[in-house]
Amino acid sequence: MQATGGGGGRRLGSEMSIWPTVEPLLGRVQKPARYIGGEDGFVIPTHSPSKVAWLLVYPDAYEVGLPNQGLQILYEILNERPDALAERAYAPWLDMEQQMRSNGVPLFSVDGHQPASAFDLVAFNLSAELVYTNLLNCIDLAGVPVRSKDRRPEHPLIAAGGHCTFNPEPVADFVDFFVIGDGEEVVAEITTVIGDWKRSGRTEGSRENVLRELSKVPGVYVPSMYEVEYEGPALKAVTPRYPDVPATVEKRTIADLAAWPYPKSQLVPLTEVVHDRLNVEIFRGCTRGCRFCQAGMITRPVRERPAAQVRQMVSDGLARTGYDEVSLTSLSSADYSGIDDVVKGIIDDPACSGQVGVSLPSLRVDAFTVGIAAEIQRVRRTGLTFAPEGGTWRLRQVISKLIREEDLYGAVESAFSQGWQRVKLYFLIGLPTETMEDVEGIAELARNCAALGRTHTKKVSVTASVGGFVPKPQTPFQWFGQDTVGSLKSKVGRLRDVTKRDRGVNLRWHDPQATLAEGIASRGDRRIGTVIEDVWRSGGTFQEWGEYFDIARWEGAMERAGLSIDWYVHRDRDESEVLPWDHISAGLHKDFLWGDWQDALAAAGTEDCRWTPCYDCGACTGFGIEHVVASNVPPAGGSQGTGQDLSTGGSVPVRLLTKAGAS
Amino acid sequence: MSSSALGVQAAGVSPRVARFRYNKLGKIRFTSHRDVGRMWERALRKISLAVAYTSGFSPRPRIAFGFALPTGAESVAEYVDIALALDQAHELSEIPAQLTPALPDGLEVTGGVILEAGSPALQASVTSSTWHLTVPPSAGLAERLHALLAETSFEIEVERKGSSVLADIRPGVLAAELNDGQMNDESVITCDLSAKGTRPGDFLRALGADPLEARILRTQQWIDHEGGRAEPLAPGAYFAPPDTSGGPEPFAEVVKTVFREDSIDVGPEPVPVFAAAPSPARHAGRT
Repeated sequence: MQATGGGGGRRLGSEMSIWPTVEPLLGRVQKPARYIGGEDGFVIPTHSPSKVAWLLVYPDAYEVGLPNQGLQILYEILNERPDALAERAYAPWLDMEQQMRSNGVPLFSVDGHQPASAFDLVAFNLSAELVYTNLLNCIDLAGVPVRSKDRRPEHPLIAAGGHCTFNPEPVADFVDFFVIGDGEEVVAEITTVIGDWKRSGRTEGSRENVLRELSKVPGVYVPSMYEVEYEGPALKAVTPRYPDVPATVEKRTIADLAAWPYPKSQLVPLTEVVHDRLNVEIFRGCTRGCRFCQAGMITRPVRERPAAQVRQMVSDGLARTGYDEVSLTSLSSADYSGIDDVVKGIIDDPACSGQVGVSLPSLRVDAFTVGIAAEIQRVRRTGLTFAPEGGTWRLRQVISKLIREEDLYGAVESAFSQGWQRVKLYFLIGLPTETMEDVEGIAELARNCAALGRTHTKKVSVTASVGGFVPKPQTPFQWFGQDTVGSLKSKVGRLRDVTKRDRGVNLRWHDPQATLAEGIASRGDRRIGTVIEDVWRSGGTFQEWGEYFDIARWEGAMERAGLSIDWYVHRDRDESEVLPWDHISAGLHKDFLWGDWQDALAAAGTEDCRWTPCYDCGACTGFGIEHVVASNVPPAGGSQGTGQDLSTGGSVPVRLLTKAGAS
Repeated sequence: MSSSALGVQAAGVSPRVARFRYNKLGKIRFTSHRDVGRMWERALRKISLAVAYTSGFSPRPRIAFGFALPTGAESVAEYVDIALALDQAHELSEIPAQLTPALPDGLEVTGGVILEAGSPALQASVTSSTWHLTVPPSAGLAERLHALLAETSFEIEVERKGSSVLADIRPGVLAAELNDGQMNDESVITCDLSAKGTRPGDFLRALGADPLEARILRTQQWIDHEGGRAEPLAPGAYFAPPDTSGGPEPFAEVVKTVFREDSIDVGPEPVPVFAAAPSPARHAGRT
């Protein structure tokens, strides 16, 4: 039995609820609604010995974590199972943490207000490296020793999933097991293994056994089952301790998104959060092959949700939640086959009364996309965002973001001519082979866009938003030495100088010091764990939040650990080097990635593999699945940001899977 | 967009205004006034109640709340006025029962009426609220209360817009009495505080009680009515059964509320105002 709804404090049934100890703290903190649960769609599951209890934690503030779709999908899937239950927790803000620590209140679920100790496992979503110190803080607040080796059978298992787990090593000493890739299917297998452990009474020494069993589940990585050897500063090998532990852990991939129409009951928060709207995932994966993009590399192949299911999820979701805005989410939503029909269908749905807004994150840079945007923003044409990423065509070939200047200008011209006044352009600096000429290209693009805008409106505003590039594991740029803080600062300075007198051009930039800290955590090995623990112990939580970030903590921790920032962050790796994540596989062949890296250095782009012959990156073939797309003809017009001429449509090398193709 | 079904003002017709009374009890008391505004907007869309929208660039449903309840306080006397589109097809008497399940747990609609055209807005007519302030027993509380009531002026430091200022809270205290130890060794102060006058938390601090230790419940809001006072909508007041041809709809004479074109916002966020009258007093003639 699960109670649905039910936010009233007095209605909580479970005898273990610690609400009476939480409630008195809430008058003393900011935004107490972060801690009360009660969202539309939440459940208060009943704990029982026959159910494996998962506490799903997003280790950042509630308003950032609540909308996370991955966490919500698993929350529903687990609560539908007879042998499992799931509740949620978020990192308490600093004021609440202080109240909890001084009153002896542990990390708790917001659903039934159960202490973390009531759960068999505490599973974290790791979406960004800078939350690693919050991960440690949450483990500590849960009453669990932060290092795996110090834990005992009475402690819940600590698990983690999410994009960061494609290099799990920096947090390998703190997490008992990782889930690599899509979680929808594997949580069932994990539940079975942990259920056996729970029924066995979690006896002395059983923790090692359950972890050994978990290590045999495909997609699960148990770091304590691996021996790590070093040779001086270099990593020599990561090898399994036992013959039945896999030498390489392959990611999990669900073949058919249509089989997983989750979340069915997206949580509607009681208080304001980011992305406060209905979110419907229209496809997973991306074929664009942008070399800097870890998400695009590790989520291959493309799996589209059938259009009919998208429409159903949208109309059901709007009716259930009362939202008046829906976001069609993916890594590049304009690439969805027939996106214009889906968008028109939502807007023209009589049930929506013309009051529903549609948003597409990650707009593609072309006029076709702007046409769709015009369709969905009939009224409020405030701002549009494009991401050319690189300032010159040469550099965009290096990163394989094959947007021609005419694509960008066509998109911007189209936007201004249709009533938009503000355009935002995202760029990366510190990219491989980048010269000051490429950096100045950013200013030139922004300047030309503003000039285009002035032919339509006097109030034109073009914002160039500039972030420092952090090379990510499992991408062609994993061998690249990250740019230094000094160099990034001088590039930002140069951009400030050259845009100073440009009317209508604004410049924004990301703190290069935060880029450095992210770089330390991004490609670190297990020795970086000491650094993360040091930063956490010195009080460095919420490192994604500028007001709490301090690079001195990270630099000091590296020095105390005797580790070189230059070696970990700024050094180019060579082909033979053992990388800390070599035993984790996203399906991409290492020689494909290396070849792509060499192509990058030669400024040769890789075309979108949806329309061109297979490069055999390994993602499809390795898992025996293929891109699942509904249309075999590229939408006509322009290059669609592929650098190819797709104006006449084209033939497609991918074989279409009937299930998704039948829309 | 303005020609949509909800944009009644496109037709140049004044919409009918429904006033609902609701409770805010339990965990949900930790949500803010603004949060509650969003909950109502979603609930109206969930039950497809055709609401009049504002015209202009960014149409919003025409909803107006009364003086905000402080975050953390509970209430059995919250109100909201909603302009209904003329073509809304709901059976009016069924709306309150449909709204409660569409709202989050802890918000419960307890009444609703159609207001007479030209009735004043909640924020323009509510003069005071009655509060039950439940505090841990404290020696000398009764004496401090009597002493405060004996003064004509009582200044304390209060927080306003993030800074500390000296404010006279006494004029805003219309009446107060203490019931000691009636419930589990707790003291209950029943007080009437004027709207825009004294906040319950400040009143407690003036009495040397910690507002964070208190349970704050609003039991009534009051408007002036025929020389006495009345609630904007008595508990249990519901829409008349369908087909009240002609005459004023029930309770419409009790309150007159006006929707101005610009009165749609939920009000400022840290909402200061709590008003109240002394002990649960006479209702101005309705049952």
